[in-house]
Amino acid sequence: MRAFVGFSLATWMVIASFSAPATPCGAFVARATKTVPSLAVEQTLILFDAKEELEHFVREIAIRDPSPGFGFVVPVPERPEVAKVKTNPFAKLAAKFPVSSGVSLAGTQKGGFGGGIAAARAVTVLSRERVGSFTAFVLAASDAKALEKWFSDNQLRVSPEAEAWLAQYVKLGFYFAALRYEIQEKDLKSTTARAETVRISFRTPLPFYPYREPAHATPSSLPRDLAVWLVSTQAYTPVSLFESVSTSQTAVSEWRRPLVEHASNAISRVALVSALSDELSQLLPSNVDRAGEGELPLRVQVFEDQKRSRAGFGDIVMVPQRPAPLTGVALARSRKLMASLDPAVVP
Amino acid sequence: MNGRFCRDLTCVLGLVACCSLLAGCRRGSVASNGAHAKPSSALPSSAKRSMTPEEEAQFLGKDPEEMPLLLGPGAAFMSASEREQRLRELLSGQIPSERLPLVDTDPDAPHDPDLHARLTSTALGRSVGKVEVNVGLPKRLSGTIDEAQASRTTLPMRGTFESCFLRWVWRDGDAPPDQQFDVELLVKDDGSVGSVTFEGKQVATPAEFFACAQEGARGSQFEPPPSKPSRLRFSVDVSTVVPGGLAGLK
Repeated sequence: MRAFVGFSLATWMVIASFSAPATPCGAFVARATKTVPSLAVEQTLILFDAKEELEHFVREIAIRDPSPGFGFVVPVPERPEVAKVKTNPFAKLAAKFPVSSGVSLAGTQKGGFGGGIAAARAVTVLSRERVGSFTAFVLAASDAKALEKWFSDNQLRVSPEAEAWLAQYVKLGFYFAALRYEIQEKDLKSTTARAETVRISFRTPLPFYPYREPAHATPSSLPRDLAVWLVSTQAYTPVSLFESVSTSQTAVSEWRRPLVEHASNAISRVALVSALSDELSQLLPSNVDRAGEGELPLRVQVFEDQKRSRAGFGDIVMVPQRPAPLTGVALARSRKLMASLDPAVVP
Repeated sequence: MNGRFCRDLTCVLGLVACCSLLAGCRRGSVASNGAHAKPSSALPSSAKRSMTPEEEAQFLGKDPEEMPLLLGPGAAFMSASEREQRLRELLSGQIPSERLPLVDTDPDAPHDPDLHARLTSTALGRSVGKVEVNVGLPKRLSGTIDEAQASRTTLPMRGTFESCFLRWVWRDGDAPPDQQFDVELLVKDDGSVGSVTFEGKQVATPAEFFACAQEGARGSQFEPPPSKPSRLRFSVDVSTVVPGGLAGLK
């Protein structure tokens, strides 16, 4: 019996290039000799501090029988910090804020962010550190081909579909959090699926979700589900640019809501802390009112997406549901988000 | 009558003015799958080219707030500053974003309220054992398809079968019995798969497994396509070894 090999990432699930259910992923790296089963479920917690313009993107990664050479890449608009989250928050979150309709219920880290793309080098490794079972690289790139070569030199393979996908982010001046799985001795003996949770934190004037996927020749036909819990001080609507991909369709370039909102609950900080670990509670956004005297409630929104294919959809920008004018500085910092929603915008 | 006409005209002109900022507004309803529904045939043809969602709502007797808002970055003729103004309005909450079309499911697929729970409950903490999937070389039963070229499409289906099988393992927690079956495909002359049938199904195999495998196989595309519809057959063997089990000594 040949050992079953596979490695799955809950969001960026990697499927071998020859396996029929094409990669349902927002990133790409895989070896051609592996077949990866798809759990097809993605769970993300976004803690967004509007005042600090800081997003903590917390993602569960499911790992089964990992093999060397696998990893994934998350493009983000500004330089990210990557860290391991010790306690997976999703079971508690789902219990308290279910991913279903009809639910009604009556706290930042600084440093390590910001900065422009360093120097004129084609690929700059801004940081490299061990994050759980992964080595996390934070990269800036000014040349897509050089970035592909960097991945190749670092045992991460870029599929042909992902090349155009990567190039777009390089053009927009995005940063990349690249996580490479480091196989361990215990992995060779383990056959039990497990999960690790990572946090990717970055500055952004509005919550951002890296939703766009490489264009697959054969989109996955298997069920998949994305659940997002967004914690902030106001309500947002996830918006993505949809551009028709089929030449047989009428050309469409319009904004869409790619996630359904199941719930939007105002909740006290204390109540929310009970649903999160200490580690994540410390990352809750500031909710002191403008006078600095009282506390505003925090808001938890629960979103879900059941589409099997994201073909044609760009990344998600969460826009405020109520008027919230962007200041001049925030406006300047929102150029990359604007470019995600309108390709004509130069960031 | 004239007074009513003037009121209506004033109302329409007012709405047009209000929507002038939303230059990309396009009339027409949107299905939940994001596909554009055809314009209502009840509308006058002249209106079909010019009405805003608000105007259409009036014609349809609906609340304009309930109409989907079809809005995008802007037409090609719009200036850069106009496009950016629209983006600024979107990003600062000045556009009713909750009225943008919702596309959270596949076309024509209803929302499945249990999908998240179902997928997460099968995900973690289960021993998945070791799984081996062997896909045999395809044999042409009819038509003109080249067997060697077809194998480039059929062999990768191993991933589909393995994925479907593993879901079964995760769902039940126990290793299912080994599976041996044949797959018969009808490949159409455009290279797409017209039908998928299975021969030699195991009694204990859940229908979900074959539904999953069928769906995966149907998504395949044969390149180059055969000159006329062809039938292919190939074998699939799936086996598992659970750690610690006797089967592990094989």
